[in-house]
Amino acid sequence: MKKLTALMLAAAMAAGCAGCGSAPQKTDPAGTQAQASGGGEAEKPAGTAAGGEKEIVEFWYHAADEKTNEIYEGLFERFNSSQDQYEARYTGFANKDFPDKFAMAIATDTMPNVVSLGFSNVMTYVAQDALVDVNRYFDSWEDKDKIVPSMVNTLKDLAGGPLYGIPYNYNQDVSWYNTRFFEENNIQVPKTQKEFLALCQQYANPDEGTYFFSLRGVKPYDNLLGWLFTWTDGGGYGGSYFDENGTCIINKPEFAEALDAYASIYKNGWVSGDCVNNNFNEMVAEFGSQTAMYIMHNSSSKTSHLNNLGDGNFGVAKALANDQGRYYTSAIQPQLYAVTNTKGQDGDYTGAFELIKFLSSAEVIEEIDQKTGRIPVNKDNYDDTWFVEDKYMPLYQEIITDENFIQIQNPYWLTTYFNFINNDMTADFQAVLLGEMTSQEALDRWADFLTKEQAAYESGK
Amino acid sequence: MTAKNKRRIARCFWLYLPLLFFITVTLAPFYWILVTSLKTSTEVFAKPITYWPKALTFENYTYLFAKLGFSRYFLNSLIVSCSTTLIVSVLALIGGYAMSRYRFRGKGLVYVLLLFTQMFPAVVLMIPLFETMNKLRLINTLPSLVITCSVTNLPFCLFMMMGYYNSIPRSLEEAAQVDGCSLLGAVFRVLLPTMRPSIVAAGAHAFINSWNVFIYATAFITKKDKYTIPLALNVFQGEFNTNYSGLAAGCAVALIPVLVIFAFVQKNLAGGATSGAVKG
Repeated sequence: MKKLTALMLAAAMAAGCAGCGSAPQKTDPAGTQAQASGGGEAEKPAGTAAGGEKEIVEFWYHAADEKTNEIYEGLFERFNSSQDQYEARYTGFANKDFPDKFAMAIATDTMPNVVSLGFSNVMTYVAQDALVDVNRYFDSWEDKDKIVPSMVNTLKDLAGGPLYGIPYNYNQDVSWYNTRFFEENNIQVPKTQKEFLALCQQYANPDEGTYFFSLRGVKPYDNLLGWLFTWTDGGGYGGSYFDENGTCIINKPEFAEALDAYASIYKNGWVSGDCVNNNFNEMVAEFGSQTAMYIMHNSSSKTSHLNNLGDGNFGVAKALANDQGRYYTSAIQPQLYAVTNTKGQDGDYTGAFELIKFLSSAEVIEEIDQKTGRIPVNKDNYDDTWFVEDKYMPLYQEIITDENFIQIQNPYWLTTYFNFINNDMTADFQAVLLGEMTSQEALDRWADFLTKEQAAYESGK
Repeated sequence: MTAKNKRRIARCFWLYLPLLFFITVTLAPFYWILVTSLKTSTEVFAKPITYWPKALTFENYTYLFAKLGFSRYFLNSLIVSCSTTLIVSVLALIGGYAMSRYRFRGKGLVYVLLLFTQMFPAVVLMIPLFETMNKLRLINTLPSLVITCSVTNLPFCLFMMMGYYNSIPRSLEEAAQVDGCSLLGAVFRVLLPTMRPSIVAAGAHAFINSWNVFIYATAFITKKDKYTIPLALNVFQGEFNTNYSGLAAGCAVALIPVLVIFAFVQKNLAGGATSGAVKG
């Protein structure tokens, strides 16, 4: 009897297991359909569709939200109906999920055909042989001259010659301020770091919970490095991290002095105590809730300020300058459309590049950048009415041609750099803010790490 | 002051006030989600903070369902959660009985293996599971999530059931058998009715876990029409902007099934989860 019961229980268990796979399919006919067409995407992302009529081009966007999803979905519909050779398929990922998702696609050989990437990740993926050099496609593209040469060259320099993607826009590092607060208090927008420090001190009001500035304690790199290089005037190396011997210069005494000055904003209580844990969202929330009246960020946060403060209640200004009037930022770091290595470096990626050509056209870029606040790199856009009449774009353009603007040459060619600035730099910077580490100690650690990495890079060239 | 009044005041002070404080702290986040979802995005950040919307708006909910297609995601989550709950409950009920009542070779090993499955963080399993689902051609299908949620929730639920079976004296089934029941009859007619709290607790555990499943969903699902709610909520947070009021509206909708389940099963949940803790 026991055996019979055990047998019956086992049979029931097996039936239950079988139900795992089959039952949900019955309730989800769309899923079954996806197996026939879409389901195969993961297993074989690139190639010709089942009927042999259209080549499928899978595209992943690395920083999607509900707005960009809507824009891109519309664009892909337009691309698909404009020709009958390719069927482009769009998938958007939240920015924080994309690195994991793409890393998994690389590991499991299920990459899409085209990805949108941030500048900082390019060399990480190149090191994994995930991207294709598109120089040959770019050279034969009739509109290649429309793409701002400095942006293309930045990408080529990054990889030492190969072009691992087509730049399509970039962000400009700027300062955002609350116009109403500035007008009410008759404050002039600070131009120099010293003017800024004085305002931080003057308008810090811990009793009311309002401050002049909101400091970013998590992933502080662009703000922090801009501050350090500007304060020190690049340490005499014009935006480079390294001297002629490949030794990192950012632990020179003047850099420590600069970091001390920056950390003093927190240590003196001129910003909220929460700032040590402020990431982008928290920093923008402090600005949006008028806890802080001034933040340093890039042009992309315009949409947030529009939503949070409303049009006309915030303004934009150039990054803070030093006593010589010069300012250093990480501006020219374009986002790009990259072709993934799904067929080997010499494979035929015509379809993938056709999609990139479409997405890089002035008409398409206009649609994206106008809504996202990013700055186009297609020269045709610079004559568009929306660009010329935009409140902010002319300033961004002015910065690029400003002789006082100096580009920080972030060493993104080091594949460990992105992780370093996201993790090590955050932890050390927070330790400095909390008084657990001196500025010099933190900078020594960073310089030591970067010097070693640079040496390894040079020797492996 | 009479002794009765003193007792009343003491009761208020030591019982009702702490309770009120606890309830307020517990409900405050829910209230804040609801209120934020009824504000415009500008009012979310307005100073002074408004504890009730100045201009009540349902546009975030309209946006969710009319433009973002949230009903599809809600349905997907419901399919995944209900399927998982059903599978896990049935298997845990049967498996728990076998593990509790039968002695068989390798039982200890099975026990350890089940325990072992709980020791891996989801991130470690992502790539092997993705490969498996890809080979099974289940990427971008809801069954991929149902299978994964079932196998990840089953061991815990099975242990829960096993504990409950252990707490029921075997003589109960034997008495039923003496009265003419078969073993299965004894299990289903006598044991099952007494096990409702445990089944409910295991089911609720499986439902809530699969309702909130995110990490596996990001791995297996890229097609929008197959998104579950946690994936859909993710799109509110862009690289440089977060739609807080939209996110709050999405969270409020996502909370509904969980709250409804809790409302119906809370008594069973508390009893069922601890029922096997003490053998007696």
